[in-house]
Amino acid sequence: MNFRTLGLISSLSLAAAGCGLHSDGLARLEELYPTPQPVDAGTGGPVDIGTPMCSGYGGKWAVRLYQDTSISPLGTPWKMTLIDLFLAEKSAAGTMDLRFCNQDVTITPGPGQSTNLGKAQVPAGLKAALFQAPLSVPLPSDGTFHAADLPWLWALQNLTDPLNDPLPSKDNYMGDPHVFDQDGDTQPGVTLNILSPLGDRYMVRRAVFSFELGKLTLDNQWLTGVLKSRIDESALGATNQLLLTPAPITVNAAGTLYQFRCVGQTYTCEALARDHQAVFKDAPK
Amino acid sequence: MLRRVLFALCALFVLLPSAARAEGWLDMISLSGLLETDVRFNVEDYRGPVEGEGYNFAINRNDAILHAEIRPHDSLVAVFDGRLRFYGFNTADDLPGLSRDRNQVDPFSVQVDQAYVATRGLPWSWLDLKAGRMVQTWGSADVFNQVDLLNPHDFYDPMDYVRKVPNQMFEVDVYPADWLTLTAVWIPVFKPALLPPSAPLGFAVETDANGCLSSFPAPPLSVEDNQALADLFASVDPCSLNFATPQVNLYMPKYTFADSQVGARAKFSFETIDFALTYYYGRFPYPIAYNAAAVANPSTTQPGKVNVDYVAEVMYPRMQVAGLDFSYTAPWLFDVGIVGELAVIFPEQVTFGLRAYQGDAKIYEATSVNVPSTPFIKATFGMDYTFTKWLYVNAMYLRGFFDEFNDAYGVHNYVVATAELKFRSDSLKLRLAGILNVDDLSNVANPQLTWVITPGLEALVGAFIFGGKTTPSNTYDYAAREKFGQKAAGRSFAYLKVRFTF
Repeated sequence: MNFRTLGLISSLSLAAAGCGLHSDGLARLEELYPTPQPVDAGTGGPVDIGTPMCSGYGGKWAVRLYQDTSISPLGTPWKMTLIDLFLAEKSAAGTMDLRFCNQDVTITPGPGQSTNLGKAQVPAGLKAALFQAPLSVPLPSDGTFHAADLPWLWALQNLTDPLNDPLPSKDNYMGDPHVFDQDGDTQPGVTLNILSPLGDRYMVRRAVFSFELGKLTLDNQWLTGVLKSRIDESALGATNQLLLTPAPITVNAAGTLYQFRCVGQTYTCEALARDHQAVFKDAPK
Repeated sequence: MLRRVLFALCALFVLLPSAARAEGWLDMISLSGLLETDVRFNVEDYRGPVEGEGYNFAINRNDAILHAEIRPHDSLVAVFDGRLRFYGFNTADDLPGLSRDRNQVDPFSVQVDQAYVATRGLPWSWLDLKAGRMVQTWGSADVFNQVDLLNPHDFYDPMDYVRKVPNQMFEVDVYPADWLTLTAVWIPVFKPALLPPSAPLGFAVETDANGCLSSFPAPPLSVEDNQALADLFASVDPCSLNFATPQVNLYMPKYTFADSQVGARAKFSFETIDFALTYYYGRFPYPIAYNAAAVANPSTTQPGKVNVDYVAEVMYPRMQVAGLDFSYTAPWLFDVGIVGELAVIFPEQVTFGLRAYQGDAKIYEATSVNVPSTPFIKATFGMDYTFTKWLYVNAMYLRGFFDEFNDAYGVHNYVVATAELKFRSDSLKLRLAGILNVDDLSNVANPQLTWVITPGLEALVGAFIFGGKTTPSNTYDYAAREKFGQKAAGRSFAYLKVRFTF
C-alpha cells in the first residue's frame, strides 16, 4: 500500500465522517418526557352521525363555528383556532336554535409549535348551562339563511344594549343585576378552566355573531357560509391572580366560517365534541 | 519476550518493596518530585455566585507530587506520577463532624496522573509499546495544541491549564526510518474534561437584591425563540417564581467498543523542521448543550408562588479530526521559532431542544441546530524568540479556544502573548502573560514574579485577572457572552506559591 492509496482511504473515511452522525436534543427530551398520546378526535375512519333527515332548515344539525383568531397573552400575537360546537334545530318560532356542546381551542405561537398558555377548557357545568340557553338565529321569511349582530352572552342578562354595553369587571360586578351565576357553581359569572397558567377564571363573555348568506347544498346535508364574530371577555375573579386579565381575542375575517351538517335525531353533543374534525372534514368550501 | 515483560511487571508490582532494598534495584529507580504550597485570594466581589461576596481566600492548598521511574533494564520502564493534595479548608459543618473524621477538617485527595509500563525495542528494534494510565500531548505549539485530543484538560484549576485528565490507553510506536515515527493509540473509554468550579454559573439564573428573577442565561436557540421563552416568564411577577438551582446532567456515551477513541500520528523530523500528520476519532471532551426542560408547578407550601425547575443535559459529540502540526527554527531569521497547528474537525451534528411545561402540560417547545455537521477549522500559529539572555517572547494566534466546537457560540479568535524577563543571574523572573479574545475583547492577564531563593526552591507571587463584562450584550443571544468576562470563566485572584523541586 503506497502513500497515495493511504491518502485516498483517509480522505474517503474523513469525508464520510461527518455524515449521518446526529444527536437530536428534542428527541432526547421526548425520551425523557414522553408526550401523552392524543385522544383520537375522530379524524380518521367513518363516524356515525345517525340517519340524517333534513328538509330545508328542518331537522337536526351539527354546527361548527370556526373562528380564526389571534391572542396575545405575552404581547406577541399567536394564532388561535377557536371552534364553538352546537347542535341546532329549527324551532316552532321560526328560529334556528343553537345549543352549545363544547369549545375546542388550539394555540400556535409559531410554525410547528403549540402551547397551553391562555388555553381554556369548558367545565361540564358551564356546558350544561349554555346548552339550556340556546343562541337563536332568526330565519328570514325569504327562505335564505343569514343574520347579523346576534349576541351570545355568558353570565349576562337584561343588558340595555347587548351588543355594546361595557362588560362588568372584577371591580364593579358586585351588585350588578346584569351578572348572574349561570352555571350555578356559586362563583360569580361562569367558571372557565384555564390550562396555563393553571387555574379557574370567573368571568362574563360576549360573542357577537353575524352569519352571512349561507349556502344549502342540494342534498340538504350542508349549510355553510362566512361568519363574522367579535369576542369580549372580562374576569370577575380567579383562583390564580395571573388569570385576572384575559388576553384580548382578535378575530381574523379571513378563514372564519360557519358549517352546519345534517345529523340523525339521536346524535349527541358528546359525539360531536369527540368527532367534530371528521364530521366537518368534507364540508363544502 | 512476553515472559520477560511479565517478569518485569511482577517485579514492579509484587517484588518492588523487597527489591528496592537491594542495591541493584535502587540503581534502577529514579525519583523526582515537588512540594508546593499555594494560597490564593479573591481580589474582587462581583464574579462569584452571589454579588458582593469576595475578598476572601479561594485556595489554601498543599501538594506533594512524586514522579518515579523504574528501569529494570534498557528495554523496560515503569512510570508512576502521583499527587497527594490537601485542600486546606474545613468541611465539617457540625460539632460531631469535628470528632468524626480528621479528613473533614483537613480534606485531601490522592491522584495518580500516570501509571504505565513501556517497552522499547521489543520484540523488534523498531517497535515500542506502552500500556496503562497515561497523559499524552500531541502537537507543536505551547499549551494551545489543537491536534492534542487524547487526554482532555483538567481545568478544575484554570491556572494549571497544562494539567490533563489521565486515561487508560494502549500505544504502539513504530520507527520505519530515522526521520519517521508512526504512533497509534487506542483509548477504550471516553473521559470528559474537568471544568472549573465556576462553570455551573454558565447556567445560573440571576436574581435581584430581593431574590426575584432578573434574567437567565440564553439557551442555544434563535434570538426570537429565546425572546418568546423569556416572554413566558415575563408575563408573570418575577417575585412569584421560585427558580431552583438549574440541574445540568451529563448525557454520557456508553462503554461500548464503538465509543472508544483512536489516534494515529505520523511524525517527520528533519534538520530544522519537525512536522506531524494526525488523525483522531472520539468525542469532543467539553460539554455541548443538548436539551433543557423548564417545569413550572404551583407551590403547595407558598400560595401564589410558582416553583420552576430547570433540568438540562449536556453531551459530548463525536468527531473525527485530521491534523497537521509543525515546528520550525528559521536560521534565516535570527533562529526564530515558528510553530503551527491545524485541525480540521468533522463533527457530529447536535440539535438542541427545549420544552417548557406547566405541570404536565407542554406550553412551549423550540429546537435549533447547535452544532452543524459542517467541518470547521481550529488552528494555532505562533513564534517565539529569545532576544537577549534576559528577555524571551512568545506570541500566538488561536482560532478556537479549548472548549469551542462551532456550536451556537461559534469559534472565536485569540491572541496569546508571554514575555519573560530575567534579572539578577536568573534568580528573579518576571513573566507577563495574557490572552485576548479578539472578537469580544474580553481578556485574562497573568503577571507573575518568581524568586529562585536557592536552586530547587522558589517563591512565586502573581495574579490571574479576568477582564470583560459579566453580562451578555444581548440576553437573548447565546453567542453574546464574553469569553473571559462571563462569571463561568472564574474569579480574579492573587496568589502566593512556594515550591520545592527535587
